[in-house]
Amino acid sequence: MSSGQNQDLILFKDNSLVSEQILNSKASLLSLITHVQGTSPAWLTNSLIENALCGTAALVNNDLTKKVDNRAEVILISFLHSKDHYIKNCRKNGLDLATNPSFTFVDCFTKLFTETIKTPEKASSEVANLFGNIISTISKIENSRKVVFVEAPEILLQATSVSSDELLALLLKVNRLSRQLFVISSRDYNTVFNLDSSVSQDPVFKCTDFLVKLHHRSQYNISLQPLSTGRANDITGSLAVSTGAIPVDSLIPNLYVNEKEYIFNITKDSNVRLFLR
Amino acid sequence: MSFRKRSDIIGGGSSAVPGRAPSGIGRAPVGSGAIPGRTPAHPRLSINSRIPVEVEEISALKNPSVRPSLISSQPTVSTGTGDLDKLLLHQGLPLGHSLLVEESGTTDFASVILRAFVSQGIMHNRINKDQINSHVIAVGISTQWTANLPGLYKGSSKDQKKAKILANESKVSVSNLATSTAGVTSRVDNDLKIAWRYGVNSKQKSASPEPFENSAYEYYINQFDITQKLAPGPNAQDISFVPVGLSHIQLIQQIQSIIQRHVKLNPAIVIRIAIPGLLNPTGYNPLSSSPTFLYPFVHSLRAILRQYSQNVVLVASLSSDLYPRDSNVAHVLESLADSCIHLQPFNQEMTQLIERAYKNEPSKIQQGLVNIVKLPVLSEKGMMMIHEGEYAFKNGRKKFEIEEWGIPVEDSEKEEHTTAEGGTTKKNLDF
Repeated sequence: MSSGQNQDLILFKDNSLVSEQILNSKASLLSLITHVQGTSPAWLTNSLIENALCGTAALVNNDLTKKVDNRAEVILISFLHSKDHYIKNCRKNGLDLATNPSFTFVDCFTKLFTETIKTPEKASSEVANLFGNIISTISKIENSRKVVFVEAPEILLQATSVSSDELLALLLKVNRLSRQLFVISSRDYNTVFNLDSSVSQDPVFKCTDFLVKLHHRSQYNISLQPLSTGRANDITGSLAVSTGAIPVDSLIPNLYVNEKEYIFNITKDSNVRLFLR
Repeated sequence: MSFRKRSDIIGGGSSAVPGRAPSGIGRAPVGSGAIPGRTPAHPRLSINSRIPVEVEEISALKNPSVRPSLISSQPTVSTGTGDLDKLLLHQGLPLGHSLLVEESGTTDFASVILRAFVSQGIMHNRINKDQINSHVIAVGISTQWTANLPGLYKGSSKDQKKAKILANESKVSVSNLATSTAGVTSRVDNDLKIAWRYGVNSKQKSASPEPFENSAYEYYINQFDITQKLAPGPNAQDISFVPVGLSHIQLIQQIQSIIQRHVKLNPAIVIRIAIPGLLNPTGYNPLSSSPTFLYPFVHSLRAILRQYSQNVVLVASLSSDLYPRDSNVAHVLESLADSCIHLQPFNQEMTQLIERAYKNEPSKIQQGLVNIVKLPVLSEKGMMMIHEGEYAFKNGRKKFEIEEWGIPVEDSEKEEHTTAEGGTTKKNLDF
């Protein structure tokens, strides 16, 4: 495939990723980025961070070239990676997150189960405290143009006694403080997402319930999956952008999700090529 | 434009490392300072530039058991299995990363990999008597497990016999002195003649050396023989044992205190955490498989790996018969590990087919498939690294080999002809 066929990734019909209309509105949007084993969304997260911070998305969209300093505040809450991981990986996007004043990292990874949550069997109050700290961190930021990323919150469901409803309630509190919340979660079939599971203490049941309810609450969703036809050397997987249960235009008039499916390829040097399917 | 090889360290490494002197022309002597006329790597890179060489990571490269990754230049250590190192694409396991080895069936090939991983760490402590380069933390196993660690491969039985003869000849004795002038030289000549006749000499010349052996990283990897025992065995400086209790916090604190103690003594030390047979009922309490113990434990291990990203690597094994790959336990462990392979021994029918196909070449018989689930760094960046049914392994005395898998072609059997009476004969009968 020649590079001339490359497509730009667009989430909304106004040709944007994190739309200016969302940042200017008073609505709080919720989006779900789901992935499975083999299609890690790191490149997409990094591009969305870049777009929220400075308006560009060098790896996935060549048209978004206008750089805007401190476009929005980005708060990243990760249960799976340390800050160093993002600092290293976002260098490819031309970002220096270590010094960027608009970037806040909330580390829910390094000491999650050694200091923050010491009794996973009865973790409701500790998880509530954790989210209390997250909410106070977000509240302290004065700029109202906030974009929040929560990576792998399903770890709390799998490793602790917290129920899906409790976690959803806490996440919705975070959502209300931001203009846009991205929840990044794994959705491997059978191992994480299985609609046939019925035991309420089973981690699979909790994760399924959590994802189904989030989908019902979301405005638009992004799903990354490997090719159903099997492995290919020049294609990594497919990316689908779809409207959620609550349409975006019901909250922000004249903003419509660009429902499209792309196939994408990630190379060893982390370059991304997208093609419309 | 640089013509430097990818595996070379830019502004790093140290000739102070024993045995790591500049090996070839063009390899600049490197030290902690920058190369003259070359500015240090800038943290901010242009979009099309290569993966950056981390300046802070170079201290780990002072350890002779560490070399830069071929893909990302991150400091990398060998797993003790050369072919597995190649399979991981980094020529080993990058520091601060983990490998999960899943295995189906009742075999225990994973323990061969785990034992080589531990032996390799211990061998790195024997480069210099006064220098401790490595430490192993064995979790959930008894000291008995280390009694069967593989020793160094000393060559084939022929080579060993030759070495014995040479050793005997070098000894001062009456018979050796009598034959020293004429006898030995004529034997060598005879050897050469026979070698020339069978083309042994040309073979020796054409045989390409192992990629590691002739490089600057001569201590990076050793070859192990599973029929030999590591002698002398590991001592308290080489290995620590951490029993598994029912509190993940205590377990993590124990591991962390061992790491802190060793890192304090030698900041460039490599600590290898080995967890053979994770959740195996013979060593683990049934409550250990509870998600409220297991997931916090593995998550905290991941946090330790990131915290000591210049010192610690982890290899664990899990039985896929006890925890199948489509179970939540295996999925969570896979997602928390940085790399994962799945050993899938062949069933009886396939084993018989391969044995029939290679009946004249028993050394070619493979024992199972190696499926790649995740690879360090690359999978995390979003690359699709799942390879199923593309590689096979064979476990031999000499080494654990991994090679590309191809279904063996069975020789077509000689045509059999049916006689009029219903019997069979191999001769073609004309009536």
